[in-house]
Amino acid sequence: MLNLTVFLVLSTIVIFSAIKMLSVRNVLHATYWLLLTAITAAGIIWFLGAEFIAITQLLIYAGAVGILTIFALMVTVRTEGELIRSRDLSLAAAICASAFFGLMAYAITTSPSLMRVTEYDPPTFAEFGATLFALDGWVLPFELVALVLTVALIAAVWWTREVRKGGDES
Amino acid sequence: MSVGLEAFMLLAAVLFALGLYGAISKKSTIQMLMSFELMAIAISINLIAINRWVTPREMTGQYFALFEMALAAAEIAIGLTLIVALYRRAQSEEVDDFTELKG
Repeated sequence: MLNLTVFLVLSTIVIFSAIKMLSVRNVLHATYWLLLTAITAAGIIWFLGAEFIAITQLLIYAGAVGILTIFALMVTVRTEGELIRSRDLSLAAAICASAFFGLMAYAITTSPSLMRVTEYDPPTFAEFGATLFALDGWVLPFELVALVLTVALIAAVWWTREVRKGGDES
Repeated sequence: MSVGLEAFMLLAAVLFALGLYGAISKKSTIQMLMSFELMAIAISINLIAINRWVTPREMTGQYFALFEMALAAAEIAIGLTLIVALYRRAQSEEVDDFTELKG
């Protein structure tokens, strides 16, 4: 049930934590705010009836990506003082972002509604999986994405290996 | 009272604009990548919302959200790796320090 109160609460949390992520000066705290954004976004996705995607969102963004970001911070930050940064306020970026939002809001509010369905009974996990792995369904794109992810992670391991002192980088 | 598709699309637009602001303004490479993540989150909310009202039985939006998440995860992994590799070279994670290729 798409309740207005639930939507307002979740979207307020999501936008508030995104703004905090951009405005807080400690990078580690910014990571925690990003985690809160990801978790609440998973809540919104759950609320929209896509349970599997909500769980995936939790596992990938709140789990894997959050931990990777914290690891990268641990590798690149030497002292506690380096965690504290300036807010990097930028007028040009603010103009760009608000122009983008203005354009999007104009397009969303003036174009004819896309809503085609009023009643919604969410498909079950079983139906989701059956269509995903059906031969005439999404199995080929799924395998391709798996391949891309494997190649990317192998490349990530290759890039972070120890470089010999004095040797060339390749 | 129920909420329509436009509300979710506006929410996703706000999140994407915030991510865009961060991606342009931040000078720390890690914070730039975090802003990219924010944009990816906005995209998945948008895909799921459109899926909910346009193709609920076919679930096209859900599959695209799944693929988008996997690709965003690959992008973040490569990005963070590049940051670590660049940090080894320049002892810095500031965008302004990576000027070696500047003409």
